Amino acid sequence: MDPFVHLHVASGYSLKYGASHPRQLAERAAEAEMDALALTDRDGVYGAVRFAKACSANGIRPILGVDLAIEPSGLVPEPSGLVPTIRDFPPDHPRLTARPSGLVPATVSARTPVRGGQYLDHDRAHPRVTLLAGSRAGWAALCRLTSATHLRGERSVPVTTRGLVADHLSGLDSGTDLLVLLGPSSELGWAAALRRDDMARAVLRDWYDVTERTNLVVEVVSHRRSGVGPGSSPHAARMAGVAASAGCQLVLTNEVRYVDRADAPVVDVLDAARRLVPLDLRHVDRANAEGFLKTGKEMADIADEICRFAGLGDKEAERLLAGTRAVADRCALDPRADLGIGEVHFPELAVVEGGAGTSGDAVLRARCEAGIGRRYGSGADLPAVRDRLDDELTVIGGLGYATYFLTVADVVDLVRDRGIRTAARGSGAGSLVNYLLGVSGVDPLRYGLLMERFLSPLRQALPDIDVDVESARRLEIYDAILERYGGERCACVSMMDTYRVRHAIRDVGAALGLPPGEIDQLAKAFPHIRARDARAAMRELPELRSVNLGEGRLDLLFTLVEKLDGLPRHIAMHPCGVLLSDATLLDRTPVEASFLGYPMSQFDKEDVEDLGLLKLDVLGIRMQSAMAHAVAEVARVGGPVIDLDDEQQVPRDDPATYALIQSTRTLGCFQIESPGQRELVGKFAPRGFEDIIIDISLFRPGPVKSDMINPFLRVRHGWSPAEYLHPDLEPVLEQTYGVVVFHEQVIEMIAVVAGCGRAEADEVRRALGDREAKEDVRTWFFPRALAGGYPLAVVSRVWEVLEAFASFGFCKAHAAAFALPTFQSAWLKAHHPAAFLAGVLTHDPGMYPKRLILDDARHFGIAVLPLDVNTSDDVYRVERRGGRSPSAAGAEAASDGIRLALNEVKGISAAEVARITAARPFCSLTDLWQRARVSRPVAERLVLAGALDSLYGIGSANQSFGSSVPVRRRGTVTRRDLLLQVAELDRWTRATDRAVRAASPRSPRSARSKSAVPLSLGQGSAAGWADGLAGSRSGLPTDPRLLAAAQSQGPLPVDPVTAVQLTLDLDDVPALAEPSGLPEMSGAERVRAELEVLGLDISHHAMDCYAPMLDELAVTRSRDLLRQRNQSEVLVAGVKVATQTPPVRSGRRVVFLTLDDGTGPVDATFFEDVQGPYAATIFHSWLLVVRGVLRRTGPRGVSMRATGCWELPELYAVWQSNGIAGVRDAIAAVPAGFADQPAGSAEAPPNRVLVHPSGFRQSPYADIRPAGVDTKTAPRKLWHSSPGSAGG
Amino acid sequence: MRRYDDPIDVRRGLVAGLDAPEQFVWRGRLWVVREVIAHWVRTGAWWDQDDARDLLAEREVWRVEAGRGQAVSAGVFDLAFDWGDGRWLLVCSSD
Repeated sequence: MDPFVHLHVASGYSLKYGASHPRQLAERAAEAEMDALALTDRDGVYGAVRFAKACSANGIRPILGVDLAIEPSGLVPEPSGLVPTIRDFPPDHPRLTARPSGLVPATVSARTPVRGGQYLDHDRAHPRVTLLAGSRAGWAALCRLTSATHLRGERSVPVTTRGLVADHLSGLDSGTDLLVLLGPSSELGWAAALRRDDMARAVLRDWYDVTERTNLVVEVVSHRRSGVGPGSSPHAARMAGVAASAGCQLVLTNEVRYVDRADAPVVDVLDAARRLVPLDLRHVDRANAEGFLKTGKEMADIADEICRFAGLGDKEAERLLAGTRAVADRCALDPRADLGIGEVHFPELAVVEGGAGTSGDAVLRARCEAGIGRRYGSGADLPAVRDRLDDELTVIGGLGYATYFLTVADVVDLVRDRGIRTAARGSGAGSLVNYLLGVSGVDPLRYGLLMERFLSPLRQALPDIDVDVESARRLEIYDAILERYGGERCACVSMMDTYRVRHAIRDVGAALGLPPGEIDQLAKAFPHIRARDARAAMRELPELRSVNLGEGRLDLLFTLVEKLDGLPRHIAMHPCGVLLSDATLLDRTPVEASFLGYPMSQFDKEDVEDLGLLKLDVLGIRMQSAMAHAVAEVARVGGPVIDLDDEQQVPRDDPATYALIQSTRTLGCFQIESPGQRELVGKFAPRGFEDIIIDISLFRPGPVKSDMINPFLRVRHGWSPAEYLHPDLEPVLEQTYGVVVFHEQVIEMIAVVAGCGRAEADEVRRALGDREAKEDVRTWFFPRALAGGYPLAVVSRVWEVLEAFASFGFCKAHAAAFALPTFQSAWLKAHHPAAFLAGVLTHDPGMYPKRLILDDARHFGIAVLPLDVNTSDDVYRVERRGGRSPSAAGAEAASDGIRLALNEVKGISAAEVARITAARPFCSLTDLWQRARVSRPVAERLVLAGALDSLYGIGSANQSFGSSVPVRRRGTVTRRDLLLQVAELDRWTRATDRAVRAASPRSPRSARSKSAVPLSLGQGSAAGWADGLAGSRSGLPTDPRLLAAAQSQGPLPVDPVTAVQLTLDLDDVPALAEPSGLPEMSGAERVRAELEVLGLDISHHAMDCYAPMLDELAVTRSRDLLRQRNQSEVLVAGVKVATQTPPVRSGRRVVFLTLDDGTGPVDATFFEDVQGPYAATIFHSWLLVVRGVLRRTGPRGVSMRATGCWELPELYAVWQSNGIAGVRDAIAAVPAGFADQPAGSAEAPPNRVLVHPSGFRQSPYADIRPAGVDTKTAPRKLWHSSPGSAGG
Repeated sequence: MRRYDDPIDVRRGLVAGLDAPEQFVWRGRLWVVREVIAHWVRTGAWWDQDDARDLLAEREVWRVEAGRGQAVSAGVFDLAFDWGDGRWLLVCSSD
């Protein structure tokens, strides 16, 4: 055994500081036969849970601490020249340019210019102090101290104070619960670097005022740096001398930042990335590679060297090591007893139930029974309901989880009381209790959902109940929950963003000083893979072949990129996790403020699960917001008030809804809008709610790959009879015609054949997903099944099926929970398409760009109404036209229009939108300019997008594309005239402002700077903050909720505009002069303006201007594809709306491309053999021409196997110069560099394939966001950059 | 202080209980180390190189007082060991 213990170790969870994962540190310590190891990350305990788990796995006792910056006491001057960075380089190294030796005054001033035109001044040297927890109480104090440190001062610049440390020490009983370590970067270290022992003693005395003797420890470090500064042996020796003379405890550490010597360059990159500067000797902290996890032998050498320089004998080195060991033994923690890993803490029942309840079980039962009447009325089915309820309550009671269910129900009530839509997600829908409490909206009895999949007496893990809410109002819900439970019991879960390939390339590239443009291009060329796979991807993916890896500089870049893999880089609020616990929550997790000012745990999702904290997933779902918007719009324009969850109003067997789904016109609908799903619903033709559940479950990687769909469809359509493995299994598999689709079916099959309970069967099902556990299950399953009287052949066959499908099946409860919003969205689209699509356009829930949704609206006969300052709102609105009654769906569609939203205008602010909607109607551009006070660019964009056309009677662009100059009456105003006027108005406004400023003695700017800087508050928390201030007598709030809110860096909410200026006729305002006679914008120009301003093509489709060439080339349009012969070769063209790389059976990468050509979507599939020459075009271009072979997949379905792909603007340029023959030649030619390999030849190196336990093979690039920019955020310019110019 | 870049042969051993260069041959003459004055390790600006061969390029330096035999004449030398190529160099002397 190695007796040495490292007490000061930073992992990667010291953000952009440490270079190793806690797991690697624990493993290395175990290899060195150490029995304990500390983790003391900077500014937080983010890695503590992972570290504790890794330690347990490696048989090491964890020691936990935190390394905090602390306000200086003023006893020691700030070490301007002594910051431990490399400044003292004597010219003894060939690679170093001449530099004066010794200590040089810092050349880095307090304000350092960094990337992005900013200055960085908080990297200023604060002294640091390390705290080690010595017990459970010490850990609680450490957590609270860390929270208090983060919640004072500025967000994400945590600096503690001696007072705070003293406060948290004073509450502890024992002098060894929490230790304070003063190391080389403490003020003690500063004093030693100045060789001022008097100051050093003053620092120690100052600390002894607030600590017990046993609390304080001096820490010495030697990284064998040159000179006498921190990290050098002479410095360590001096500190040791001071400690000895003051009788202070002494430990030796190595201030570890990386496991291995070879990882040292990574910390240089991290230093540069943290400071936003390129690598330079001035910017990196280390001088050598000594700060790694050394062995005890190596540390003993250091101890020797230090004691020798201190003039102390051999004995002293031994005492130093023994002292270190003693502190380690005192601080080693037990993960269960001290950290509380594995414990469960629910909020107090009194908090959840308002102090009424006697026991959680009784309250839960009462609430469920009350729910029976509401859910089932007084139906005949009640005995079944009661039996099921008793079963579930028994399990919940046995596990002691009653308060958990009550808490979830309480949160759901909070949401509903605010009129916000909510739905359950996940396996929780399988529980009757959840249905009765109103948490879930699907009846588990009616759809055969099992509770055991969700909650089982055999599993101790907390069940997951996820609540979906309207995304647009998610923060409102967080505010409500926080207010209800308070910051002592409630916090958000955090999420550690780790380095993946794109970020790693950006940070390493910037550190190496590569040009920003090159870095950006290189980063975007990669799909979103892990950083460590960068070079493998470059070998395997054709679109990356152009990157020249041979170049030495890139080799260096990618070496470092791979080393950054998986290191944490940024902490952010998790999009849905909320922690709810009792009043001891902050004893177990530190909190800090999120960007928007919410208290956020330093632990992530996995960590809080290990800690047994109740985590509720409150997930913002855009579709819920879209549906809420749709319902509100229907009511606003005079339609009925719809309650989507009411089965009387929205019957689940509504024929119109299923007719819509079967027609595959499901763009915008939840879950069933993707190309693959549209193909599936076309073939499947769902006829009822159960069918939607099955459809959602079938459209999963597993079923798609293992070809479960075709046998299913054959039986469904009556082409072949259903086959059952055994008559006993018929009831289980009847609903899916003998095909295993659901986890619930796997559970029941095991229960039936092996004759066991469902809870046990679910354990078996889980074990089937694990390669090793599977064998145990097999030896358990066969004897039991045979004993049950099943013949061996049947048992073997059942086993085969279980083995194959266990890991693929889908949880039916989960599918049922999904099916509800799917059905509801389809119902809305069938009955109120305009309102529904207005909701979809406003909240953008789906996978397609909005311009495709607008196209879809037109196909439904809904008018798309242009932007208009006098009618457009912040969101998309339905406008009733013609006033016909909305009786039949068709009639409604024909009479409705969707008005574009002001929010779509590029660069428009929420305040500008609020002023426009409050101040209208406007009578002129001048009126708009004066009263809505929009900025000049926004005013220009409003003009360009036609938002003022109605004011000036500018005609809609109905003229054909061909005529370049539309016919115009003399003397009419054009958009160009209005643009000129905007410029005029802007000049006038500036001139008047100048005059006003000159007239007033004090300029508004200086007046503003004198007023106090207002505290920015978290959204919706301003009132709470004021309450907190009033409530606490001491003057400062103590609730972490309010402290975190005060640190918010989010935008301030826009004040509602109440008073609006009336239209004034001022004579000095420049009125519209005579029309200049400039021509009106042509149709093509209008489309271009629309795309640039709104990102949408309104007046014409973006493809229209290419029509002449496409017609000459005989390109097939989407609506005509169905009429083409099977196996014929076709050309299609369109705007890219989606690229996907889904997992397929062969384990190869397949690229699915969806284009939109104005007549509908076109789906094309690129297999691996054709990706080579065309992959880069697919991922990085927006307007494409695709050649492919057509295949009919069903009565309504066609798919295309692509054989080539070209950029449309490029072909257009060829067409303009060389005519159609030139275009044909361009298409026929195999791209340069690929001509020598005929398509389909297996010349390329074999690609890696991932193999799952079930034997399924998958490409490592499947299901990963591909290279290039997301199709939903298509660059507005690229779509349509002037079709006339060459090169596109 | 004079600067050199001379390859030397070094024999390691214990100097006052510390594992250090004990003797070295510089320009054909044997020097015996009497005392280790300082000892440090440093790395260079690896980011200026064009490949990823040896990113550490560590150099360990011993500042020693050494003399020739029993003679009074002693000097202070910086002896450097390059971990990359395993060579000893004499980089600095002050008489």
